[in-house]
Amino acid sequence: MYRLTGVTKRYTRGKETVEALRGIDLTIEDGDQLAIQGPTGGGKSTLLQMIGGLDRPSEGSVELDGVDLARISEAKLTRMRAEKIGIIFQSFNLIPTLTAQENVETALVPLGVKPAERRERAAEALRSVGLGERLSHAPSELSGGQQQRVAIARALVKKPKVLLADEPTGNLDEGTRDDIMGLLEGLWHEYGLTFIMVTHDSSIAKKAPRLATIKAGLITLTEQGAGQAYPRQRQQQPYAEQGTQGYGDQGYGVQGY
Amino acid sequence: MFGIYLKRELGRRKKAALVIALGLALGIALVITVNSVSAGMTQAQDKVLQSLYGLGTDMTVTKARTAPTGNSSGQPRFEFDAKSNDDDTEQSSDRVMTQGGQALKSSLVTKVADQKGVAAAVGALTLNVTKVDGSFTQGKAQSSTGGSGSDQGGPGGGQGSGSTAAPQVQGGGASFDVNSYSVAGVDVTNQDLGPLAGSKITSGKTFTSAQTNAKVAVVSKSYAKENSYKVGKTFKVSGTKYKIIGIATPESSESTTDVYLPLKQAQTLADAKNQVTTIYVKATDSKQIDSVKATIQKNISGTTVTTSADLAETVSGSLSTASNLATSVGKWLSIAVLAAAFLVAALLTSSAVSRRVREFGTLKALGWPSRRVTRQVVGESMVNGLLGGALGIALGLAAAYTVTAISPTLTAEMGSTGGGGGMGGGPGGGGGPGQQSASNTMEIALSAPVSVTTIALAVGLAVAGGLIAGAMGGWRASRMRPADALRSVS
Repeated sequence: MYRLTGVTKRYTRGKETVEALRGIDLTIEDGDQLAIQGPTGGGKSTLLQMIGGLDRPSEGSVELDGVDLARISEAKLTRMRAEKIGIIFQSFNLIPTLTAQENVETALVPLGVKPAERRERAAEALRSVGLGERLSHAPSELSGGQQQRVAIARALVKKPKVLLADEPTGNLDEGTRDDIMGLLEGLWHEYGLTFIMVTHDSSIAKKAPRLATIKAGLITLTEQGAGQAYPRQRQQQPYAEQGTQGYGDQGYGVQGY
Repeated sequence: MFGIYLKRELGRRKKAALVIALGLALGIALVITVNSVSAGMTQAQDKVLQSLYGLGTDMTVTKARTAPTGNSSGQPRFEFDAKSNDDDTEQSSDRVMTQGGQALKSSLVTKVADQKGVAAAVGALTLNVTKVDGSFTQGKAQSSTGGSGSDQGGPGGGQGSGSTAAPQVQGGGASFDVNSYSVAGVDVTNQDLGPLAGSKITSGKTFTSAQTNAKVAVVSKSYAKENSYKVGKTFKVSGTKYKIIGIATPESSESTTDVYLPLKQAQTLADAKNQVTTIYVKATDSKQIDSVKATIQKNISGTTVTTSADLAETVSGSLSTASNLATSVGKWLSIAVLAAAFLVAALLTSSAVSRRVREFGTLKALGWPSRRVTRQVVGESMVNGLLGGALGIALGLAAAYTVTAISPTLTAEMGSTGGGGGMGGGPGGGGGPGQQSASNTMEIALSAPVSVTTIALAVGLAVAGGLIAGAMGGWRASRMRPADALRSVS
């Protein structure tokens, strides 16, 4: 469970100080899905960075399962990211020189997983997102949607507690966007992840059970109703059998993943 | 993952990797070349110094020659009687002169040996023998009744002129060869130091310690070849017959002494009983040479102590110029190129890291600790450095090999060893007896030996280059925050 209390983040540029977040209070229960929306420069990505332990607040605390990410050492914070937090980026952020499988393996490297097991788990994760035939492909040989699926496999291969996504469909066309969102929704249900996503896309944002709108560093929470778009009962079903209501059915097999 | 990632990254940035490696290679190749050429210069200088000193000598003790007094010019004088034209008998005369400075008493050798810091001291007498042999015939007096010409007689004759019936001297003259060679009187009881120390006996044998006054000689290879001397043959010096027992080949390229005799024999020939011209000194510690020099000069007045460093200063010519070039220009050039290469490598690595902000930020966001990211950057740099090192070593070896193959000839001119000179001797035969020429010239082929130390230095520099560049890049990478991965959009 996340508990953010009075989170403030200031950036100093020369003599000017900008407050990106102003005393944010937010609680996110395990298994929740939260969409964060807001205008450009409103502070939504900054909030995601605080939640993901990618940056520390100037004031306030960010507790994940009782551990304050703002106060722990850099080494512990790094370990926390390695073990509990999976992140998906708008630009996919794949290492261009590594194959799809090797890219997924990078998430297991800091956990000290042995190479053979690493390869096996990475291959399995890629198969689960429908890229079983693309293990040895370089990112440049994959489409945008396929690259984002590699990034999703990389985020989930370590079986994290939290999945963070920063504009996961921002660089994709509409069709591919639905594929990816369908996949993420399915995985969220399947694994009971805490899924926090920054998005510009209102059609995506309004399907999330909870919506946080950030404007000028201040947050407004809207409860949109759990299960509105993705009924909870589907969580127990294999993703391949679920279909993806609202996002198109891609039928990605997640069995065994 | 480390190896795969490293290999792929270097493969992706081939051009940048090549630029870094080439820069380092150039610097390292220069260091190897300058080092090896410098070593070659040192060897060449050592050869020159050895030819003057003999191997193992740290310094020499001599005494400056005083100006000749009275009518004596100090030069040899030859007297031959002219013979009749019918007499073809050749006349021969040797003049033996001590070479270099004023003679020192043999007892000084022991005194020098007793000085603090002196390991051994050996006396030697350097002589110059000028041999004149040929025929000198008288002119003939003839009566003449006419003629208007003038006939010139030889040195033994005179000059006739005029048309009177007075007898004229005709014919007569001289035909002679002058042969000059150097002789060194060697202390046969200690041949590890002194004139013979720099030579190897390549035929026959050297003196035994019992041959302190034996009529035996060792001749240099070049002198033996010039005169067709072989072991077992005899030759005369100033009327005394000596048997050749060995042929000596100098370790250095030049022979400075033609004939080696037992010291007592040399003293007898030069009428210099219990005298030496040079005392060869070996110090107990090569680092204490200057203090030993000062001690000797203080305790034994009137002598000149010359160390190899002093002697090296008297060497001029292209060897000196090239040596100065190698040690000054070469050294600074290689340092400058190396520093530039290090800087370029560091900047390129740092710039490459800057271009990979998103990549490293992503890895950190995935939970890669800073040290792992740094290790990756340093690893890539190290491979670049080692690649540059290997390339540099290959280039440096090729350059050193080329220098050795071409073997450019350098000349070394040794400073004045004339009457007032401080050096005992000098390469023999440089000038006439008594007054030696102002300088003696040696030609030395330059080589560029590459030592294991030089290769080790090159490897060290390659590693250092890689580490410096890697440290700079790694430092930047380690300071990168995972949030940068989210901010940076390419």
